[in-house]
Amino acid sequence: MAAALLWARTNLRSQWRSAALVVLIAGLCAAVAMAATAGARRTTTSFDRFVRSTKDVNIFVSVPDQATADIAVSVLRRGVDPRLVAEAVFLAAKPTTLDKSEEFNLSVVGSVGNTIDRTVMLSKVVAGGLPTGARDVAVNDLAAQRFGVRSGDHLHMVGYSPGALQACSTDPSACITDIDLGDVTVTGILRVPSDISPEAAGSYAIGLSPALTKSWLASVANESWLSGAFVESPGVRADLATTLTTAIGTERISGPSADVFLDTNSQDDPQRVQGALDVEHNGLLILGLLAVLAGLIAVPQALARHRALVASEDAPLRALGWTRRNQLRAGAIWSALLGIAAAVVALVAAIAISPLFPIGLARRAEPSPGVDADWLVLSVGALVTLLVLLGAGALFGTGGARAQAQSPGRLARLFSASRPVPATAGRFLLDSGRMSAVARTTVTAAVFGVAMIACAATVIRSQDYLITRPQLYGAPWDLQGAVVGEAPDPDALTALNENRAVAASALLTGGRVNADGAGIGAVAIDELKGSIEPTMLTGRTILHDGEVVLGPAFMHSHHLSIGDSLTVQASGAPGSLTIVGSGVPLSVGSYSSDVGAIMTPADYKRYATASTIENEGGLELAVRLAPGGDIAVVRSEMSRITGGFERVIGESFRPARILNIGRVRSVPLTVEGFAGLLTLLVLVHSLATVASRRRHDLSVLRAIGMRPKQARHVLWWHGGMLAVLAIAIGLPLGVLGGRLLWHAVSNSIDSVYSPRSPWPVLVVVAGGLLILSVASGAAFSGKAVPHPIARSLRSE
Amino acid sequence: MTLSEHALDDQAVTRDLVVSVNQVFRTFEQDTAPVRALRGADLDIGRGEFVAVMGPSGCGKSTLLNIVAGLDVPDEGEVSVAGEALVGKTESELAIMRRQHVGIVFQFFNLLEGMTALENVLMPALIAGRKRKAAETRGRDLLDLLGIGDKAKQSPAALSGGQRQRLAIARALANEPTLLLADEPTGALDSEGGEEVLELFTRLHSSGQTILLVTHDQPVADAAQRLVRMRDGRVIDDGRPASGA
Repeated sequence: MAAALLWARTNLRSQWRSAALVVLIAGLCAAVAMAATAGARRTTTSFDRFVRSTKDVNIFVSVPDQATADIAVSVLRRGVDPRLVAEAVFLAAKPTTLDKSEEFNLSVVGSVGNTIDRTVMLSKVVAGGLPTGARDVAVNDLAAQRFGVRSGDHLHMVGYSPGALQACSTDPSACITDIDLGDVTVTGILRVPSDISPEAAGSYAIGLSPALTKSWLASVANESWLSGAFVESPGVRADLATTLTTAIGTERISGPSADVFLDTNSQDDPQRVQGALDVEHNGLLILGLLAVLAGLIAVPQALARHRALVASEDAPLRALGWTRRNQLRAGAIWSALLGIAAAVVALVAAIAISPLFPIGLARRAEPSPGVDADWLVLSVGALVTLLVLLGAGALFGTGGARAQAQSPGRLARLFSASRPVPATAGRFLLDSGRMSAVARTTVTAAVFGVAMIACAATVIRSQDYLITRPQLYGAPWDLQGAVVGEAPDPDALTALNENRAVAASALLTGGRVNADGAGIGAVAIDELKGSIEPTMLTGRTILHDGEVVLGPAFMHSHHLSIGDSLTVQASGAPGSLTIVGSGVPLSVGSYSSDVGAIMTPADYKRYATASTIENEGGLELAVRLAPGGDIAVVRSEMSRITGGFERVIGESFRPARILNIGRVRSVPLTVEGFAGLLTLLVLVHSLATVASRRRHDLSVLRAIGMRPKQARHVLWWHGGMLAVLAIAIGLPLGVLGGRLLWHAVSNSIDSVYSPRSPWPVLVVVAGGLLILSVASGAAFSGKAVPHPIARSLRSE
Repeated sequence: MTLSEHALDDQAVTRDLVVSVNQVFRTFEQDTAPVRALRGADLDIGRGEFVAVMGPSGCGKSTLLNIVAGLDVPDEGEVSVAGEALVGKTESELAIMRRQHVGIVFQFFNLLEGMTALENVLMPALIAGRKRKAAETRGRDLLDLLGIGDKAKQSPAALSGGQRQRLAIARALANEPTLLLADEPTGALDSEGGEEVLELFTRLHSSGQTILLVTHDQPVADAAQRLVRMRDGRVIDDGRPASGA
């Protein structure tokens, strides 16, 4: 045992630089894997913890008058801690900087009682403090970004008088603010659960101080009143809901939003939030898995290279009676020491980079951002790091030195016709003898690293391409807006369609049908001018009644194919539609992609559920601009139909599934950075090993006439050839892998598969790798060319 | 050879010196104490001579050979090879000198294991900038001459000790050097291999090749034309071997 310990200690001491690089490579891989896994765990629970920490109202009534709200408040105060009960009024006001089309996304919340408090609503202070003064407001995160304000800035506000608000409800063109409310001071930036919405657009909130609320209530129209409370226990919440309904009486409640809502908070759908978090969770797990895979490839290879450095001692040791068992024991001690060092590096690094996680939406939701130590993940990670190094040490580190091959490898012969310097470099790189472990492992690791970078870059480029082209994810038009009232004004429609800037327009009706026993969303396209067709994935669009285009998710889950019949329930006898294609689902009202039947208006009228059409359906106007068409002119025409609330596709509208993918953009970016760093470390380790192990060969070459400069250039060439090999194999592999990965992603988010190759990035990666590789070779070439030569020949 | 013939021969050699070593000192700094490998060594070798240097371990004979080869530099003294002074030359200039004038045979061969036998022989010629075709023709001729022509495509690892040393000699002769240096060329060989190599050296010498050989082995030294004895970093006896060449 003492001999084994001495062997291990001596090897680590004599080759400490190589050992340090092995530890660094293993530690880096393990740290990224551990941090990503811990980040994934934090991601899953982040929203839940955020809601619990903010104590946002999770039971509330929204009523049209203060009297009813007061009744609800008194009921709530009897059932729960009064400090957790809130009463608020929503006022019809807005900052002058807010575009009209975004007004419906803004809530101006007047504090009537406890509304803006540290324990109820708007409770997570990101910057500044709560509003208390006569002109003070707080804004939520998204509003601060949208208005471009920070704590201490001012906002100029305008409002609707009750008369103006009344006029607006009947005539969209009359929606004009008529009260100048002056400047208010933003005292704080707050974060609310609605800031964690997957569809980040549309949740701006301005919270007024009680004094400001009181002064504005006299002149500004109020839209509704809210009474609510935070109740932790679901049972108590359910009882309170019953009591509230009894106390208020449904006859006293009017309007579509007058109901008792349970467990809804401000976010409209916690499941959608969790769905978005799941995407981020999976993204981080993929990052962690890639780091593990990279570690499993790079670490044993680094160990094999390190072992090649000390292999020359095997023969003399065997001559002294050193057995395989001795070697195994020594190798175990050696790799355990490296493993412990790598585990410590990984632990420290994982904790150090933990503030980078979680990412995306979960990062906004995370109630305790900053340094985090998930001891379960860290313990398992450290143990696995140790075991991997022990295993790899047993596999690669304890084997004897490989004998020199009887004839040079076939690949190495490729260089026999070259000039001496490149020929020698080529032989060094592709030698099939003693140094083959170094060559093989380096080429493999470099190819893997380059492939990872190319794969990640392809995904990023394809993602960016998708995000900027709404037609690929279900909005093949430029402007979309909800029709104000029951139906669009025919004169306004005619004027719009006569405008040359309008290439095509259509009315989209969104609702629900019962198909093959499942309630699914449906959209009818009523073309008014030109042709507005859904983006097709396979097959063709609908041309006649009786045909339907379905979303790929629904077709897949119901095992349907093009040409099959879809049975659709109707109030009368069930009907049948022929599936003619699979298309990217359209987004109309609250019906978007997870649904997916696109049909003619006649079929829609026949099959859509009556109650659904009445209560939930949406009627929207979609317009595609002619090339060079003036969007401002078209918006002006549209506003007569949509009240100025039309959205520019790609700017203010993106479905959650597309936004979710955008939020995990940092994952491929991290993979790029990680793979780049890993490749660089592998190159440095390899070239350092080659410089050390080839010193003798280079000395021999110098003894037979090679100049020192030429000998140094052998290392430059070696680095360059390694880079060229890694680029030649890794880049095509990576691009292919990225395209396959993007194909899977496109399918999962119901979008058109339109991969893009990141040529500029690939050129930079190839050039950068070549330069770095040659530079690393140059940096180590001095070590490989000692002076005088005789010492090197003698010492070897 | 009569005494007068010998004197004439000596005069001819003096007129055409291939190696001239004059008062060379070389000290190696070690962890414990400096090792004074050469302490004023002198040696002249004329064209066509076959000189063997003998002496006990640590007497400085290999250091002397390395300095003549330009693989090491003296701390003091003058060295010239084929009329070129080595002291003061850069590493690059020394490399060019080796290409033109020196071929080296090492005790442990120092072959390039990743290359074939033929490529090992080609390498010095290619490094010297010769045309590949011409170099290859000479390489094959040399391998044939040394009896290993059939091993041209083999790796050095596949050859026996004697064959490896013959390959090393072929490589040393690739650029038709003025001076062939050999450091214990038979030290790693069995008696049969050693005899093969000695026979080669004798043949080379008879064809006019100047040879400086370092050895422990008296029979090897006996094969040389002239025996130089060293001790404590100096040449103590510079004459012909007792048995003659």
